Amino acid sequence: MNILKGIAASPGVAEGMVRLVSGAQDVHSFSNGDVLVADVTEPSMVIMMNKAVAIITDRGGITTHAAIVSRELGIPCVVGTKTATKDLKDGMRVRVDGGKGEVTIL
Amino acid sequence: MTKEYPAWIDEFAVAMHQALSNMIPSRWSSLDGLKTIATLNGVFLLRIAELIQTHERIGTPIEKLWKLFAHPSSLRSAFLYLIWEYRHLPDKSEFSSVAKKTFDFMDKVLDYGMQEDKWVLNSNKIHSQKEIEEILAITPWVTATPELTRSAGQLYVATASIGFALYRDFFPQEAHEIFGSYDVSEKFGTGAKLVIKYHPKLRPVEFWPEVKDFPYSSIRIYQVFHNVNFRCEFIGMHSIYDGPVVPNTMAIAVEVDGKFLTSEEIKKTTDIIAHFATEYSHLYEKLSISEMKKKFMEWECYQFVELFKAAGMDWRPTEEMIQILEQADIGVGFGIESLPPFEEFIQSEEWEVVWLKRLYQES
Repeated sequence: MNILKGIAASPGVAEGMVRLVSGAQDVHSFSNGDVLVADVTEPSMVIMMNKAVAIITDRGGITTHAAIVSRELGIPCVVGTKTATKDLKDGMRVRVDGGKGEVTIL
Repeated sequence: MTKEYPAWIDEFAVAMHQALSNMIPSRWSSLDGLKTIATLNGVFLLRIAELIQTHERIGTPIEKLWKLFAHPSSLRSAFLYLIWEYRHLPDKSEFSSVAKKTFDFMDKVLDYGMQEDKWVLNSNKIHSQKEIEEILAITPWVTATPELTRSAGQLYVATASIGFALYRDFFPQEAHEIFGSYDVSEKFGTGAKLVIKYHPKLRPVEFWPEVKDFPYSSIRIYQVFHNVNFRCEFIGMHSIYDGPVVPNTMAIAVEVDGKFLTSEEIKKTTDIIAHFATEYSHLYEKLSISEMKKKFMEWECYQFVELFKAAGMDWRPTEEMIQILEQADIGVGFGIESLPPFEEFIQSEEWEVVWLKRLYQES
């Protein structure tokens, strides 16, 4: 079982399909219930963030954009994994535990 | 004997270090905002000193001065950027009188308006208990469901995205504040707390004429929850909730330009705002470096827009400010990758705290 670890930024557990996102241009391939994976999130990703079931980032702390947004949306978030955009691929199914700061590849 | 320095400097140092430690400054903005501020070489500091002097001359009372700032996080950020400008002056001695007067003014107004914790180590409160009771009484509360809370969260995210699109990394707080948390247990039960999310200045056509068709200028989201601890760092939008917000939210109200929305209207409004946020996110990206410099200066000045207007002064950047930046070599990114430990932060001349203390101790 592969587990990525990072900072627990927003509590909760959710499962979904990975979508690697680098900017607003990825909106057309992002569906409701996908797991948003990015180096860092930006406000231009708003439509995708509002659809996401969880958010994972390579970088960030507890007051970076992904963390703040996730807590407001009530979705799990793990930031600061360092390697999420490298280790996770589009279409992978993952479980995100935002309370523990863990991402499990299913 | 060493002269004393004002107590706010120590509180500022703790708050600043705490806040910056949890961010990624290196990802801020396309334009290096810190270098931009440093390049000003006191020009903006002098302009604000002139603004303060004008208000002194015309006798503007402090309660009005407080209200002329958009909200306290705007004031704190403007204060910070003036401190950074002072910190980077090659010859500070020429500016010591101006700097002290300006910083004393900003501290006085902030102190007047905040109920407590003026540098936001934990909370961001400006409302008195009486004002909170009035808000509770007149607000048309809707009992929260997880779906409604999530919907209000999506509205908040979309509106925050507008703020970022129009004000970018150094100034999003102009359109984004969170007040709280306030104890509302008398009305909502033991442990109930209120936060007020406030988004003003959402249609700044003065420097973005492209946004004239954006339908809203101001949004407030009132949220009551229990079993959650709220705190924020330096500015209200740097919010941290300890505990899950969605299942613990008890009541919500959303006000757009003075009108309270139904649940269905919240969803429709969110979709509209999210669409505009995506569109407006490209506005800044299309700017040349020269245009970005001018935009940065417009944002700097706009923090004081109502104070300028009340003083009968032009709020816009002066030609001198624009020319100084135009001639400077300012690149992209923000030159701070990480923060040093706190003791180094307050003792090193690379950072602002030691210069602030010396300003008061040595002059």
